[in-house]
Amino acid sequence: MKKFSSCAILTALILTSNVQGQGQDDGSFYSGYGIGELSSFASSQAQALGGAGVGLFSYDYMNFSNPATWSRQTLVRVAAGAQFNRLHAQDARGQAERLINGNFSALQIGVPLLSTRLGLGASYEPYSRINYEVSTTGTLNADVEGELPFQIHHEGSGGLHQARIGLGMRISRWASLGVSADLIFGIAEEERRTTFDSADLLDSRLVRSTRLSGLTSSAGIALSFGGEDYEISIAASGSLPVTLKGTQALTLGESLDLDTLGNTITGNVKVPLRTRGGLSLRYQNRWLLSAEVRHEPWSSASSSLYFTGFRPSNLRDRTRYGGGVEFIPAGAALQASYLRRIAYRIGFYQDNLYISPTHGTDIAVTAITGGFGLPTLFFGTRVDITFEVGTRGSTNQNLIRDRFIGVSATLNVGERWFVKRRLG
Amino acid sequence: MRPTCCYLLFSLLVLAACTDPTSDVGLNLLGESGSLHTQTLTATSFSPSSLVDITGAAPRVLVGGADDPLTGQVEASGFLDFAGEFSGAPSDAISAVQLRLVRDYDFGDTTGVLQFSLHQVLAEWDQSGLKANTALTIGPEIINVNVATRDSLIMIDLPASWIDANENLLRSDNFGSEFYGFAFIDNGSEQVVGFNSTSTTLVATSTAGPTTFTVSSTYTKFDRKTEPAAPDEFVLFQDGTGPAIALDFDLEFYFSDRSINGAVLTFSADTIASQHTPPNFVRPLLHRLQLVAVTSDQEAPAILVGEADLTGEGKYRFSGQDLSVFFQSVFLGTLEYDYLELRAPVINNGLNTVLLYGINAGNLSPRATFISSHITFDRRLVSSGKS
Repeated sequence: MKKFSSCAILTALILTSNVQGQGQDDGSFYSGYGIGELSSFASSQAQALGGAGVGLFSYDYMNFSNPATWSRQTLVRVAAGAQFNRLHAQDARGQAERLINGNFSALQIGVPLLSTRLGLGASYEPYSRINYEVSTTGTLNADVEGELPFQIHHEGSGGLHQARIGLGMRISRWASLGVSADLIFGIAEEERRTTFDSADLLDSRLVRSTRLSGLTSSAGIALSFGGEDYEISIAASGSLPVTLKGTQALTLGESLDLDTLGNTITGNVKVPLRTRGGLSLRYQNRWLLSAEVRHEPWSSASSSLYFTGFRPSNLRDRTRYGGGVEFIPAGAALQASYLRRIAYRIGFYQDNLYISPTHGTDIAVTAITGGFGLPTLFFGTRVDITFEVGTRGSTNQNLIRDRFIGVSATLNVGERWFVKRRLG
Repeated sequence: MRPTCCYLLFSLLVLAACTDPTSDVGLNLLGESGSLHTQTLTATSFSPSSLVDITGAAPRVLVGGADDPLTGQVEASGFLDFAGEFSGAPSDAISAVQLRLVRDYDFGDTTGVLQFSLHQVLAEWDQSGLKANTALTIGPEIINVNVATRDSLIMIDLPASWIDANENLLRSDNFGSEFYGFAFIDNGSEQVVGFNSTSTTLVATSTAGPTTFTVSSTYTKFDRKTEPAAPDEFVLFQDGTGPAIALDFDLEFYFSDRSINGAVLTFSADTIASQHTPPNFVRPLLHRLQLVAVTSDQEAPAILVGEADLTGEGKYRFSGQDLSVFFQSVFLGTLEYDYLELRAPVINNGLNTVLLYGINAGNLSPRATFISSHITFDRRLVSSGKS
């Protein structure tokens, strides 16, 4: 069984590099703004429930939206997943394109230090993503003979990652607390390639690279009340504001022949407080209801480094609502048929981007989520298939409307480690 | 479901992810960075420079003098060295020696006299990189030559006294190294002529027949007697005697964070005024210019940036990848120069002239157009956030 777990980690790492290598440049144009499109992955269960995970206790999933929930662990748990999105983007002129991209979701590890009392959680996941491509062609008349055809290719890639480690502890029969240290780091790149048909002109590749890193911490609390058939959890969590320090450089040329244009700039990005609150209701181990509200006052963010659109007039406070329902027909009955042991989930969320290309305009994101939690032959191990269908933005004010369909697959492996063998 | 199946499902999904061709959706949100940027700058300086032209090793030497109402009075002294082997026996007597000068260039009053004295150069000289103000050591006058016709071939018979004095040298195997050539010193000419070094020969006739010595080194020394008088608004450029033109643009502020895709430098000329001459006076127009970058190291050679020919519209237009690479290197700090300079190619040694519009000539002033790509990288544009 431990081999199986190791295999899952290895697989996740392989898939991570594969996914990032293949589809990193085919996402939403909105990801080119600010530090990229924010990303969070609490658990595959929470993801299918509209991302509402703050109040979600589970023995089958690590939940990284609230470290307080890590207290309730009985198995060593490893989860890794990837997601694939199909995007239909349309602008105000009616121009449209279809894109496919794949991304690594997260690698999560949970270890019960004291079963159902104290648990350790660690994860590595994307914090933000930048992945877009725009190309154009044109002609130029610059006091030279004839018109000069040219092609310009814009591309954004990279983003920030987050590595977390922390503890969740049950401090009383109904209350749990958790804290984590969160390291945020990464490189954001914006590239512009210009090519010409004329041999008289010089093709160029300009890249603005920004390297950022910073340390913050998160904390959460969860209160659970229950009876024989039900459990209600009310929870809140938050991450402290963080100042990401970094450098920004403009380079010219290809990968092994780079020249730096101008001086490298040092600066910082101030990321605001992230808070979330919510509740969950579990009934007879069959029904699970979860709801959550997040708030991030991005209008107070600032940056001394240049990022596209990162201006006070374009920064928007982010509020996200989400919720969903899970139904397992068999409840906790392990002997039921396979179909009855599957977890069926449906949810929704309403969000707005923290940054907008247009002054004073929110870029709304609305999506329906859902999925299945598929049991396996191994106790505590599930494969989760999750989908989401939604829209991002609109074509008003010269903006872009993204229609996206996302599918993700997550392998959740749970094993019992550190158990003393009994002889006789 | 077996874990192996999960693994396969996972992998297939990953491998199925592919990249579609991109379109221009979102282009309208890119603003300035969605297109190429062109910027035209006028020269911040454009004036005669003190360049002394290199005339050594040019395929033509100039001889004579001219007093031009536009370019001033100049004198040109030509130097030709010869090499070759005597074709007769060492005992063969040389009966005649003739210089055969092939004229391929005229400047000045074509009806005026061409008069010069012929001297022998007394010391060895190296034509490579020889500047037009270098004096060579010469001997006494051998003969005074007065050319009355406009024949393309000028034949000068050397006097018997010179032949007697140099007969052994002409027959020697060391002629090439021990004979240092002839100097053609102006002696009151009203025109300047050019002799083609490829066709010019020294022919020694002996009992065995003629021996032809060919030109091995060339050099022209210029002496400017009066300064040019260019009209206001113009800057005069003259090959050979100078002046060349020094110029520069204020590039640093604007282009420090840009990549240069193209550069076009344009210099406008008044070809009619450049060729406005008195009757029978010839002042050839300069058809090709070089743009060089002069470094602060006086010993280092200037960097050739580009060449441009005079167009039908009267413009010298420098462009091409080399020019873009040069300016990009300057902006990257990998290349430094003091100032730019317009020069005439050495290979066209002459007194060709052009009047170029100066920096106060409005649309005709010297200008540089740069095509650049841009990604915003400017501390002044960043967010300050709410206080």
